[in-house]
Amino acid sequence: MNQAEPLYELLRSSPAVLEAQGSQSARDGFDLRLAIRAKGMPELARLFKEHGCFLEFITAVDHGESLELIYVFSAWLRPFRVMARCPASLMEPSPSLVEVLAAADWQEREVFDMFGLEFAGHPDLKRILLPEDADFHPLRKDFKPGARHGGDWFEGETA
Amino acid sequence: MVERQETPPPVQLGILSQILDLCRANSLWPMTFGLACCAIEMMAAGASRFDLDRFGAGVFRPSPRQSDVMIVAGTISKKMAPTIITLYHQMPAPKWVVAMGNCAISGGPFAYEGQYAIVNGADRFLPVDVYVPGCPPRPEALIQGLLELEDQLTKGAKRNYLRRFQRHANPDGKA
Ligand code: SF4
Repeated sequence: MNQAEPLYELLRSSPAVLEAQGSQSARDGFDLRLAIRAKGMPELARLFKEHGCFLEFITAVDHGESLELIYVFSAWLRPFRVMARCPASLMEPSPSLVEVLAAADWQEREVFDMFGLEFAGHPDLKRILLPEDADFHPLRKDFKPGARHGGDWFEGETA
Repeated sequence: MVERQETPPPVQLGILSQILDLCRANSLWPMTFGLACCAIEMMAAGASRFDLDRFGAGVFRPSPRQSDVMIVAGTISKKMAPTIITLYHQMPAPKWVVAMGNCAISGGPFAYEGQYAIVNGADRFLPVDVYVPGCPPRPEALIQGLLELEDQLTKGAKRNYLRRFQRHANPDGKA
């Protein structure tokens, strides 16, 4: 963890951050791991954007009982990479980052496609990789491949 | 399943139709269209080292309206399949389909039970003329596949008089 990093203190003192943990990027690829509040991400994204960072990707993890969203940010011009995790729920949409970072658009659509997590304020939240009338979210732990899955069938086969 | 569209010509032209077939066989215009890793080998086959132009098949057209061969090079996802059907319908007949790589033949490494995103092969919805196996096939394999298609068009390698490699046409080696 580079102590001269300007974002370090800002992140530490941000009310959106629950816990900040420095780590060795040479060993595990991140300079900082953050645990954040579910609603705090747009605010942090703005902070990252103002300090020369870009959104690398958004993904999610299904732990069975709970889901978690993961955001990774990197700096353009200095070695600084951050992973931020926040709890997510299927009932309650997480705030969308598209207003702040246009790069979040397709990333959020992918998370929606694979996990069924929704984002409040996303302009066009629809499936991106799977056919639009698919009715399953394949990376969820409770996804069981059924009769409609497999390579023999696809939408519009009769077209 | 899209049916092969074969309307016999209104007038039978005899020897002239054979000449037309020979012309078609030696000026195949493939569509610029790649779906996954196999497309990289297709590009290599079209580039200077392997040079598909030697066989008249190097004019990759950016529009289906101008092409007569569809090289299905890569993995067909379920989202892509309807688009491929549309592209096929947009090509003017006569048209041919080459399934390049294991993915386009049978789903390749993605054909397992319970997968949800991949169609197991182009021949589930298109009339495929030539299969080129490999993961990915080498450019030479694609070239052989296209030569095979040319021989199909002239109804036999012997009648493909413009063919560059005469050994296959004349197994005894006389040119
Ligand atoms: S056959 Fe192999 S190389 Fe070709 S698209 Fe499929 S996985 Fe890629």
